[in-house]
Amino acid sequence: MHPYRRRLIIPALLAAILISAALWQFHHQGQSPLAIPTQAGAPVAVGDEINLLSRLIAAEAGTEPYEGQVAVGAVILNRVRSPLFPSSISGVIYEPWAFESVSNGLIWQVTDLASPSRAAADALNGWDPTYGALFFWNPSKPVSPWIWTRTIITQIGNHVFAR
Amino acid sequence: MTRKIATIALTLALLLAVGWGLWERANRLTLANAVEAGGQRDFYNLLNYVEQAQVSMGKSLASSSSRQQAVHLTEAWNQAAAAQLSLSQLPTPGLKPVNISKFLAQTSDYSNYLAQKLARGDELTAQEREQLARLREEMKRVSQDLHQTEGQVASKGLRWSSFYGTRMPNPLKTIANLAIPVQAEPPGPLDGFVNTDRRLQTLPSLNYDGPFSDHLEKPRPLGLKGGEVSQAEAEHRATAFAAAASNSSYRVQATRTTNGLLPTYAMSLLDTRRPNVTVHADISKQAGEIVTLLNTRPVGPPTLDAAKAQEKAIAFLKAHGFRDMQPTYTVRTDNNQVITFAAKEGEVILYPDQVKVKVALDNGEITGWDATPYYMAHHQRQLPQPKLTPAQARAKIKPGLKVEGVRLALIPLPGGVEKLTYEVRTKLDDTSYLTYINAVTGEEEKVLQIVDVPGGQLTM
Repeated sequence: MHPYRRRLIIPALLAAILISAALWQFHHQGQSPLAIPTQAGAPVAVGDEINLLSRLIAAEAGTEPYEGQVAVGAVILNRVRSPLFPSSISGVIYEPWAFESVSNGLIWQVTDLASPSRAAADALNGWDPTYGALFFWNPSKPVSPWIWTRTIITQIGNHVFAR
Repeated sequence: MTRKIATIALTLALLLAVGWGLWERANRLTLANAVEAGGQRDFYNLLNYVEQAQVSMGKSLASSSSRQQAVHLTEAWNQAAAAQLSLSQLPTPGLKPVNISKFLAQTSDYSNYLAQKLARGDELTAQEREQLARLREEMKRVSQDLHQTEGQVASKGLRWSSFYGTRMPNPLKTIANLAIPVQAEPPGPLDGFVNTDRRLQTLPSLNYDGPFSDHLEKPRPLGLKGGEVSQAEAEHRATAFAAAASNSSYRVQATRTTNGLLPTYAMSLLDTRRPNVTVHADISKQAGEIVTLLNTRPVGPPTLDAAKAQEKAIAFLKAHGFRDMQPTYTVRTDNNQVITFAAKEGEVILYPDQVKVKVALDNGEITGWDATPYYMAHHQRQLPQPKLTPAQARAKIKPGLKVEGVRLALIPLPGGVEKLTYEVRTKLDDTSYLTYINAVTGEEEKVLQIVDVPGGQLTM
């Protein structure tokens, strides 16, 4: 092999990686407008809040048992009634860093809303399997140590619920 | 020749990479500026509203006319609430200023309570003025703390957008730390918030008739009488109840306990006759009552109507010892009819003591039960004798409203207070209202508007 060609392999590979990264970025950028948040910011009325709540439940607890989905919805509603949190569903959901699925955009990508919307309806109708929980987290993921100082109420599926 | 081609190709690749990087950087800066603007807006809103609330509270203390006092307290109520909302939307990573938030919400709520008291024609007591003055002092200190933080914000020592970003992977971080040795930590930009929050944690508790009063933070269930039941007994009761609800039979799959406001045994039950049907039932540890039940099966197209569903629900309630229950409002969701019942004592509807029953409209099965409000609130009450007649209550309604019905009802008011009232159903143009006239004093206690939602009605 010609010595130049051998030396060329690495730069060529680098260039290929860069170009594909750029292409991927363009491709990705092109797709994102489909997933633009539509409910953010605007005040939502009683009937519309169920959509927002279902989306959050789907993103946070889509793979959880049904009861765990109702419980996540109930936590949002308990927060709305608590002086420690904003007093509206949209305020609670879009509080900075309150929910991982809002930070990483999963809330706008969920598609299966059948079970989450039933769970949201049950939560809005008053069912609360956590009896007043304000926090929930997955104990197998890293969380702020502060959270463990709260009073733990119960565990449903993969989530711990606390007050 | 090859060398030339290689150089051109490499230069092109480098230019492309640099161009792409610059373009990405420009994008990032635009987004960072938008985020910074949001953070700054929330911060300056917070600052303004805290200052304004402090001033309004001061004005109400200085004013001698109770009408003016009410005006300023109403302002303080809104300003403190707006401050709390701004605070909650501020990006403060690793710090949840719960005590500041609670302080602002309580101050707002307390101002509202005082304003309402004045609106009813009452005077503020000396104690209430003292309390208000104390809250105002605290609000002043919060305002001063925020002004200090503002200094940092203005000198760009604190950039809200800097809190957003993907964390550097750990090996890279170590290399970076080796290259640039870590200096002694300067005071963190959010220390002001941390200190304020810590100070507000030690505030004495605030008790008044409002939803955020400290005495309501941990309500006790009033409707549970008796000792603690064993898990086996609870499981037995749960399976029997679920079997009656579905006209099927159940076995326990798993049991856990909950330690919330109403401690329970929580069970997952499996239907032994139908595959894939699970029911969740919660039995109170004290007294072993059925608190909630939730059947998770999806419900098919309806074959029953709302009236038939209500009959089923009433029969089920009767069979489980709830004899005198009044259906109040109802809503249909996903082929289920959810009917809210309130207990009755003689002719009086007890709105605090509620049981919700959910009926599947495909086969009439009871798919949901929620007696949490009932067991939290139900107790033997000494109801006062009404001093007004229904006709007198009717006469209190604003002229021009069409009265459609009058009945006695015990209603819950903010702060855990219950009042005996006449519930007058009225109509103005095309909107229905429920007006509550105190049955003893004749005062109007509350107005609710009935909102039609798909499949039912809600009150707001």
